[in-house]
Amino acid sequence: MESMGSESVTELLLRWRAGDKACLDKLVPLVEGELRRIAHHYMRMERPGHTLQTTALVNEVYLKLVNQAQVDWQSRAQFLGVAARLMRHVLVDHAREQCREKRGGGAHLLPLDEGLAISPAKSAELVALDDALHDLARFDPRKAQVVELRYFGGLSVPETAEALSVHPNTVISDWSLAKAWLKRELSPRSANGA
Amino acid sequence: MELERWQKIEELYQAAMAQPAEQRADILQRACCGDTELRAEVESLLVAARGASSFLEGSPVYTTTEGGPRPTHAMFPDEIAGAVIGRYHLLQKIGEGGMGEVWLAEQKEPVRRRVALKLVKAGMNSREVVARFESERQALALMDHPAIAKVFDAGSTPEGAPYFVMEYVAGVPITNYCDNHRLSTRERLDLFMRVCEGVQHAHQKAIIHRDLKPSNILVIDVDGRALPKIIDFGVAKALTQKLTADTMFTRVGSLLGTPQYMSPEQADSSGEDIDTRTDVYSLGIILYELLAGAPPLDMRSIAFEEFLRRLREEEPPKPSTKIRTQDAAASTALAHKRQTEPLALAKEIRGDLDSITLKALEKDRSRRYGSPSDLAADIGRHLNNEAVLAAPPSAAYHARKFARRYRVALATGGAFLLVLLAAAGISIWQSIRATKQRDRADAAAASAQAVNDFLQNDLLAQASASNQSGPGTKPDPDLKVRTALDRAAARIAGKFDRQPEVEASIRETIGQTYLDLGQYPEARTQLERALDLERQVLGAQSPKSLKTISLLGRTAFLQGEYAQAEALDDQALQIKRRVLGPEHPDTLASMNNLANVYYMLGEYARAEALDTQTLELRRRVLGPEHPDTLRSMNNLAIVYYAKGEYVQAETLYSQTLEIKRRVLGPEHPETLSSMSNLGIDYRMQGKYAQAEAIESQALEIQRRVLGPEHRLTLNSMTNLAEVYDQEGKYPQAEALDSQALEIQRHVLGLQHRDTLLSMSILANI
Repeated sequence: MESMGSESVTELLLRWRAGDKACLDKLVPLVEGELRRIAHHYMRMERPGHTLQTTALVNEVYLKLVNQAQVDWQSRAQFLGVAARLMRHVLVDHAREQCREKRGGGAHLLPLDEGLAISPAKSAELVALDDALHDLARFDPRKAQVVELRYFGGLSVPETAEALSVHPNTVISDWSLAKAWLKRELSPRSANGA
Repeated sequence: MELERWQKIEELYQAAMAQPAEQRADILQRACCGDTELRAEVESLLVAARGASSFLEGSPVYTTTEGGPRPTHAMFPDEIAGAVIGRYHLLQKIGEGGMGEVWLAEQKEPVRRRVALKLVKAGMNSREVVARFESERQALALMDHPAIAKVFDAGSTPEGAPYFVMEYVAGVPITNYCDNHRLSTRERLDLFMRVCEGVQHAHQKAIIHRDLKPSNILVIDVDGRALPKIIDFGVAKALTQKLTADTMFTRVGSLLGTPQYMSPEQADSSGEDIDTRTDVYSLGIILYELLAGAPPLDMRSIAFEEFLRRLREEEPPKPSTKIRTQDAAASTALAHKRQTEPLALAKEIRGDLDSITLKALEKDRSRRYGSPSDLAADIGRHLNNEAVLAAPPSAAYHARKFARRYRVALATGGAFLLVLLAAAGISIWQSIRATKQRDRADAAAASAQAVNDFLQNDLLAQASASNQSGPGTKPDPDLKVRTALDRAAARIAGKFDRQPEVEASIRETIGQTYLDLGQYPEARTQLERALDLERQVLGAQSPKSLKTISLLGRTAFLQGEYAQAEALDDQALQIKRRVLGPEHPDTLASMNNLANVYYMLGEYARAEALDTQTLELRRRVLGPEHPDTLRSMNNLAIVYYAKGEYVQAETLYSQTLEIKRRVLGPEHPETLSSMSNLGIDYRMQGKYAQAEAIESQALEIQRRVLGPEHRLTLNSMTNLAEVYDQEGKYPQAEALDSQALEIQRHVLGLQHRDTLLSMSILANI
């Protein structure tokens, strides 16, 4: 899955943008692989105490995989949308993995310098968040997307607006309500069994 | 959760959030109309919102190398919307930048007003961010200018998050404001100059904005006056990192502003220091947009790296070119937003405003305006009809400016002084060239100086003095200029005894001006004297002498003294044939002139012969599609027409028209006049249907391209009216006639002011 295949990411992106939906399926594994690779790289390189920003990560993937000379502004936004979703998968997958281990599955422990470093507490939170987001997406997919883009992808308000083709004000108000709803859902008194 | 219910919840939630906290309960009470479940739902969300300010604002990923997770939530209290920070009640988030958020807040004491409160964005707590935030605050606090949003207060929350409080500017971006209020170009320039003043103020405090763009320059109405306010100095003291794709995107908090207004040096990989001229560049882009409706290079539609490359390498199109290359609908809309029409708008922008804008956008910083105040000063000069620094230096330009400026003082006399200066400029140059060729460089410089001095001091001083007649009287402008010319003419004698070529130059110039004024005898006197001198000093065959002979020929022609004209033109032709050769374009031009004289004398046979010869030669030497060749075709056709040989004329007219249509385009003025000529010919042959067709076609195009008030358009109207008349279509004929009359009346009012000026320029340059 790591090999780049005969079609470059740029071509796939452009064709996807032009309407060829099948390209997304080919695009995703390529991007995901790169995302993981870069994330690991970041972790090993980071100075102590320096927080990893997913923004930086996602953008680096973008710069790495996409030929700047061929792709315009709007395409970048679309790409970031994909990357954000992938970021979510990557992180949540890892978090679920950690949770499973914690529950004494006896599986191998991931050494600290491999994979992404997420604290155990955070892992549980991420899983809960992911579940809640799925719930939200059932009756308001756009708000779930806003959260995915901004939290997992680290996109700014204008970038999110671009990716979703809405006005920035819409993003701001969506973000506000989505956060409120998620916070409420994730608060201890209304916790779902995790 | 059903969709409909959720939508209702959302509606209530947003409505409540837009209000101050203490009023929310009431709103909910009223809106929920007894639906307690709904109310509870919304209320629980509002409560959650209060605690969610930092929720999800950080990154989901941490490092572990310090042995434990480092939380990235914000350092300020959970309660934010509706919260109180210091003595400010936060109302609503109104903006989000790279590292900060801006909230609309209400100050209760000591004075009740709305303010803008800027704080560090949730999730950003690094020392770097806080330091930058602090430097922005300090930068703003230093400034005190009406065009810059003021800082009132600053502080930190109990948790240690810094904030500062600014003037709340309830305005719209400058570009939107100008369009919404349909500000004219002049009004836009005035507003823009005030923006420059503000930026200049910042520069004087050693602060470079670095991110000037329309959304950072809001305009508000104060007592009916438009006031710009520059907000957001957020990147003002940013690190001097070069801006490439990676630094742009991977900087903390995502894209650092839009690259649309970024200067070439910011995009340059050599990483030069940014200085005040970077702001000048951004101002230039904004000016461009205000004038032409769009920036010179639109980044939306091209790849980012391509944008950077073009920014670095390609010259921007002139604003007037950008306006011109739009389709009719777009340019009408554009002009409409500036309270004008497309043609007038392009004319307004062409020239100075083009030059000024491009100078602000120079890629080489040393060629740009050094400061915003320099830019504003040049705009001021333009508005005052003075010469702007950005314009290419030329005698004609300065003369034009000079004339425009003193137009008020000199009435239409200015037009002729303009001619004088322009012509003098040209003849000075010619005289310098001639003398330089004879190794008299110093003398040449001195001559040029002498001529200049004379013109400035004697002639123009005369002109302004001669205009200081009674305050209430409406002076006859021609009289004043004539007087000035007369006096100047008198003064020349004896002044340039040792500089005959200078005297010749001046006399020729003055002679030409008399000619344009219709003062033929006076023109004659000057030109003859000039010719004498030229013959003496330069020889009878010299280009200058030849030119003067031609001028004398034209003078005679215009006086109606065709015999004399014939003699002079013939003389010129002989010399040219000998000196330049029988097929030289200048020789051919002389042949043309002579043929014109024959025509005027009524000697059609000789005219036809000479025109035919000229046409043949021009076809061969210049090519069948050269403008001069076309002119010859036209002239010959006219001779046929005059002889009554309409069919032969028609053939030639058609041929000419076909070529013009093809080479110049169907809407070129020359093509249009060919159409008119053909139309007249058709009419004479009684081919009324064809005449009507071609005349109405020409008229339609002229109306559109030249405008309904243009001389040629009026001509066409008259022509077409005559055709209708011949056809018996009397109502149409009458309608057109009265239309034409109406326009003529209107135009007459404007004619004196403008048409004279432009025609004089055309006559001599």
